[in-house]
Amino acid sequence: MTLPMTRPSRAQTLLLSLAAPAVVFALYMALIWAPDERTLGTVQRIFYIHVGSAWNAYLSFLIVFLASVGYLLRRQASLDAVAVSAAEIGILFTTLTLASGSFWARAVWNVWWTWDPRLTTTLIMWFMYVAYLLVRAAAEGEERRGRLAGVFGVIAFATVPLVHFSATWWRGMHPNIIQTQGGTIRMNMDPDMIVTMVVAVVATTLLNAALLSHRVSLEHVSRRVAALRERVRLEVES
Amino acid sequence: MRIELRSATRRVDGRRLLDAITLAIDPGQALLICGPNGAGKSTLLKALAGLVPLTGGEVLYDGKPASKWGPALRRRIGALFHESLLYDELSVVDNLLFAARLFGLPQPQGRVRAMIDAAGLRLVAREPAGRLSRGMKQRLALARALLHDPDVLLLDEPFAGLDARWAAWLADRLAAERRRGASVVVVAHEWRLAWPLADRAAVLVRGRLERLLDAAAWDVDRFGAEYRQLLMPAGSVEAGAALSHAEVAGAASMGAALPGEGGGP
Amino acid sequence: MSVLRAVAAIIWKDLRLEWRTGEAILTPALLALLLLLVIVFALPPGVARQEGVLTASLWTALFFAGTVGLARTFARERAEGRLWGLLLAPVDRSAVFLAKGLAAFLFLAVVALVTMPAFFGVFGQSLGAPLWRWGVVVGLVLLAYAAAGTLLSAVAAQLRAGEVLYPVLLFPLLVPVILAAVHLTDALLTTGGWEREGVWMHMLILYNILFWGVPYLIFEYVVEV
Repeated sequence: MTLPMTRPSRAQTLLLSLAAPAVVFALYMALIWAPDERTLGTVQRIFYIHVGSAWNAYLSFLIVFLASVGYLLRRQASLDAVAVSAAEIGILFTTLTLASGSFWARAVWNVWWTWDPRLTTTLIMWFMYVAYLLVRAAAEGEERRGRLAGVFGVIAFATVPLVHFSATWWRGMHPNIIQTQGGTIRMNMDPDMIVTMVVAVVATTLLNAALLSHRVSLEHVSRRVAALRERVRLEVES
Repeated sequence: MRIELRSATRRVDGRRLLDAITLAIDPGQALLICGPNGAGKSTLLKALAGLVPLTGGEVLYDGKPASKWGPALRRRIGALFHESLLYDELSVVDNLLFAARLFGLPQPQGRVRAMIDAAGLRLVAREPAGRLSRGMKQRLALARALLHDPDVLLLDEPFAGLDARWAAWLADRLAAERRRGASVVVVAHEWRLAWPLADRAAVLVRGRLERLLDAAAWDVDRFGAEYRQLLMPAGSVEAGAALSHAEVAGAASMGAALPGEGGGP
Repeated sequence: MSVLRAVAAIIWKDLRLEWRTGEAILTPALLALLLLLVIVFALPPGVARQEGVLTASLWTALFFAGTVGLARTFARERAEGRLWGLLLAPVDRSAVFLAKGLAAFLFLAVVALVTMPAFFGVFGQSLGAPLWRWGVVVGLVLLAYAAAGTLLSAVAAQLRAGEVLYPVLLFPLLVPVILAAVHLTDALLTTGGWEREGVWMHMLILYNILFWGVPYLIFEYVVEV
């Protein structure tokens, strides 16, 4: 009987050693290097964290969706492990997005919360994926848990665009940073700010990847432990 | 119909519920499956009915994989499980009428009336199924399984709760179904009642097919000794219980109270 | 043909069961009326006749009361292995979803039909639009609600304490339907038509297509085992 692997693989170490300095560097750029926004002042720097988290929240839920579809078709436990890991990380980034959005709203619109479509969608997504974790917690048996969570992961992701459209038609007030003009995308931002934003997004994505890989191996270890415990139980019984 | 299992395997959560089971049942034949609780008997029936997917191997009907048959195959399968499949609030007639319509039988009314008479349920035909006695409920569940003259009968503990008279009725009925060409699979924890029906007997232990033998060539007591021998190392308490005549009546109902795989749909 | 027959058989069975248990119509309808009472008690005096109050109360009550019946849609089939009985029918398994969804829709429609007059009465409003327009709007909303509710009911029925979890799983997915219901109802009350809020009509139709369509791909996975 071998003990579960607990040491990180070389790829994981590499990811983490890339992500850690990248995050520090991105924070330096966002908080110190980037210029002050003309009207909003220093508060605008929340934006870099906000965009980085929001992008990674959506990315994580896309991963949940893909892993869920994969699990339903192939029934490989590793795909289910990816789905649960990405869901937890997605909720983390969603929470960060909501918090930073709330700070932004307080500073810019003088309210803690606005029913801006993107914030609303993000809030509903937060509820959806907390529900996803509830499905997992309430399902008995690994196979059933993976299957039902997979179904819910697919339905939830398919609903997100409709939620977004609804929230947009309901009420709209979000600074439109990216506008399409004559087919080309134009940004209403200082070039330095754009560079900072890109760096922030890349850094948080690296962080996301590092977290995901560690969370997935943690999931594998915990499943291995559960299987060993079950085997011991069976041996004691017989 | 000819039923064939080719190294049928089902693994769930790392446990082997069915472990590479290979066997075949010809039209008109009856196979008795016995084994201790948790041996995979019910899972095997559900896999044959297409209710649980296999993780390896395949099930073939008349030489064609079950997956290629499509829904039409289910028209030819009749199943009785531990669970009654009945709606307690609906009357006996309504329960059967529903099954008849679900299967798209022509003239459901007449069909249901004939079945109710055959199963001796005429006096309680308008009673809600939930108020029937255990034996009557079992007969209703059997009536539901036999209603559409299936070519494949998958019966989990068909004798549970039946008194001697109705057990004899069921034995006759199954013999008639077999003469018609139906293949029958009977799962019985208490196997002695089902023994006279069977052409062959299979012993399942921990998802594995431990024995597959010709029932005609075996005497009941010799098989009993062999069965006891098989189960001894695995779970001696259970083997004893299954074979003790004192517990015959209890064994069937005890089996019914235990959840099947995972505890339901 | 056989699919239609099986669908009709399951709906017939559900109506029959409803007659005997009252789980999907009677209880939700009573709950909706009780919620109306709670809302009236909770509102400050004089607000009841203001614009928007009827819409808000009506849909809050209907959506919440509806979950009580919808949660049972598959919970009831799970006992005694009844779902296996349905799955053994010689038709494609999505027919089971279709039938259960349509039955759930019928129940919700009856609940709406018997409780809505009370809401209009209490808040002193007249219809403001032709009856058929109300039928179209409420019908599309309840169809969407029934589809999502039925699918989630099949998931929740397999969970520990699934009926308790059910509304928490369902409501985030219902956000587009709730918003559409509210906007279209307001449009009917104030303008007599839905033209002003046409975009919500598209949303409802899209949602219906998604939630009646996706189960054809996914329902097999929901009910296996």
